[in-house]
Amino acid sequence: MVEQFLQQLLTEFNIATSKYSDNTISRLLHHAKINELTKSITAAKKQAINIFQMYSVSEAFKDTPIILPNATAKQAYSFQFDLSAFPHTRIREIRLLDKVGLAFDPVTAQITGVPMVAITVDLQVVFTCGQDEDQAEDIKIIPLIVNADPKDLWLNKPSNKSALYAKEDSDRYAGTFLDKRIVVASQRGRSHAHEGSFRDDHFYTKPLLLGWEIIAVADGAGSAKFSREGSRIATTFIADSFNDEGVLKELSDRCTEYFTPTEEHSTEEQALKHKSAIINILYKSVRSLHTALSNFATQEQVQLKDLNTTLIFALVKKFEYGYVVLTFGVGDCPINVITENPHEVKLLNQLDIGEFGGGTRFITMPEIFTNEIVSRFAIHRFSDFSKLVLMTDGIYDPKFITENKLEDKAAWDMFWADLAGENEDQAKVDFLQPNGIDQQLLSWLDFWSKGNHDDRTLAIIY
Amino acid sequence: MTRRLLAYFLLDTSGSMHGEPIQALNNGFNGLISMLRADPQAMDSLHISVITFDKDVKNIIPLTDLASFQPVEIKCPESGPTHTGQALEMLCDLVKKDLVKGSADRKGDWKPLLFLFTDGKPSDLQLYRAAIPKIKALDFGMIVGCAAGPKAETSFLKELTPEVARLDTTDVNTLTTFFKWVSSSIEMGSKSQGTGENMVLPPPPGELILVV
Repeated sequence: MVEQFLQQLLTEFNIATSKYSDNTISRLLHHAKINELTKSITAAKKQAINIFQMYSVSEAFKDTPIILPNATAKQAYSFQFDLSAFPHTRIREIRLLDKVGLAFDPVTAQITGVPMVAITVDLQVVFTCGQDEDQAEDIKIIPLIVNADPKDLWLNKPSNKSALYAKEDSDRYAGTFLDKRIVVASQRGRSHAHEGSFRDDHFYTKPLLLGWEIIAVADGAGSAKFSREGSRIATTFIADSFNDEGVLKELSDRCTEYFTPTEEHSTEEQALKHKSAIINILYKSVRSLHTALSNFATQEQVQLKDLNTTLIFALVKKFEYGYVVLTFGVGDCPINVITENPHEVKLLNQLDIGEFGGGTRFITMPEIFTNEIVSRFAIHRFSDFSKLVLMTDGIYDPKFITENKLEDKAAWDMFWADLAGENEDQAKVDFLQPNGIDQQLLSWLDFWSKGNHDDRTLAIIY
Repeated sequence: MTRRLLAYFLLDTSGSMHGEPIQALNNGFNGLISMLRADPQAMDSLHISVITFDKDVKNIIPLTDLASFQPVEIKCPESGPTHTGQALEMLCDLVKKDLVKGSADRKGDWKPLLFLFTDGKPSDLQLYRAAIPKIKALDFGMIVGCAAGPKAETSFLKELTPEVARLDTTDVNTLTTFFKWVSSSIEMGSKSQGTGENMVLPPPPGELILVV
């Protein structure tokens, strides 16, 4: 060791090797003072290199990206530091973490807690490198983002009551429907409340002549300026258009002949004739609604597409041979019937669901009035039913998610359980108690569902 | 799974962006993310993917939901060409992979949005022109082209989209204003539309000139 030390020393001092230097080295190999100096210098060097390495680790640690996943206000957060690549590095404390409402445990190297507010903060991570008394302390900056609780971001601005075609932010109704009861509620969506814009949904129900009743629900397009008025006109006009004794008389007669043929040898051809007559009566009203909307647009000097709205309706009458339910639908709102015997759930209309979210069709679109419109009408008879349900996509999107779930009994069982109070808010709709049921349904409509903040309208005949 | 709104950002990181412009772009882009974080609708549905293009094309941020989005540092080389066409090619592949279309058992995403920011013109013009019909076939809800700085050419962007904005400079203030407008444009992306209808952009701020 001494020999090597001396040789390195000579090189350092630029002393060329010679016969004398070699002899001198041999002589000094057992020199006490030289031996002592060699030991202490080697020890000092080792100490210096240790310190160097400690700081180098510290620099490396500072430079190694550590990503803290974003937190969300009011939700539990935890993060475990992985220091396995830095065996002699310890995190002593994390400054500013208390500002976020989180705590750090140096023993477990874990951040835990529930942040209270949305904040973006550069945390100061105080860490040490090295062992025993030789320790280097430094600070590493790690940004942490706490997202706001989504519920806190939604504003609830009142809509401008003096604006054109102003509409109440919510509406509700409870009453009788034929020999059954009906409850309907409609609530402005959070996305509209956030901007102080209007509810675009609308519903209208009304007893007609000759024992017919109608329920109509419409969902005005979010992208259309005056769809709130479009949906109002669509529901009220269509209901009123049927309230004509002549029309309803023919409708009743045709339905009876269609479902209970009197002639001995009724042919399929005759059935088709009655079916065609029924659909044409319905078609005439739908067609005149489209004309009415066009006229309204012209008169108000707005574009027809500013009134874009979907529409579903069910025109219902109880006959001796059962309930006749005539339906029509354009857009993505479903009409469902639930029967007890047999226990079944049926979707009564075809839905227009685009490949992309929000892509649907509207009653205001001239292109729906082709021969294919026939498939939008349907004629049904039920000896009895327990529920007839109409809803806008504000309900259907969060509660059923996809079209195929609308005929899924399990999905409907969950839906009824939800209405019976099995939900976060314990909001309950009591179908056995007619008093206040409309208010209960309206409160229930306030449910929270991530990503679903559209207007919500739900009509239940029970 | 709720409906997602996918927003793709194609950002020019060619040599000419080096220095103050790239700083301004970083500021503007990260500022946009902060703004969107305060928008409940965006927090619920927005997913962001970032592609940078210079000599190389990189998907520096693969599709990430806004709530998990981490601040990003966009870097650019000191010199080099602008491979816009190659970036569009990559975009096509990503959209095809990322986008969920509606089916009987899954909610479809909203129509995706595309923001293309450049301070020059495509160096790979042939590839750029070949990619345009492919991009158009993807049915974006909106494509906004932004030509920033004195050397940016709007004519090539016009081949891609009618919505082209022009910024005279690439300084921090101008880019911040631009990204604010982008933020309000994104908010328009998640409203129900009729099939085949076009999205309407919010009115642009004064610094922004819409190229007709």
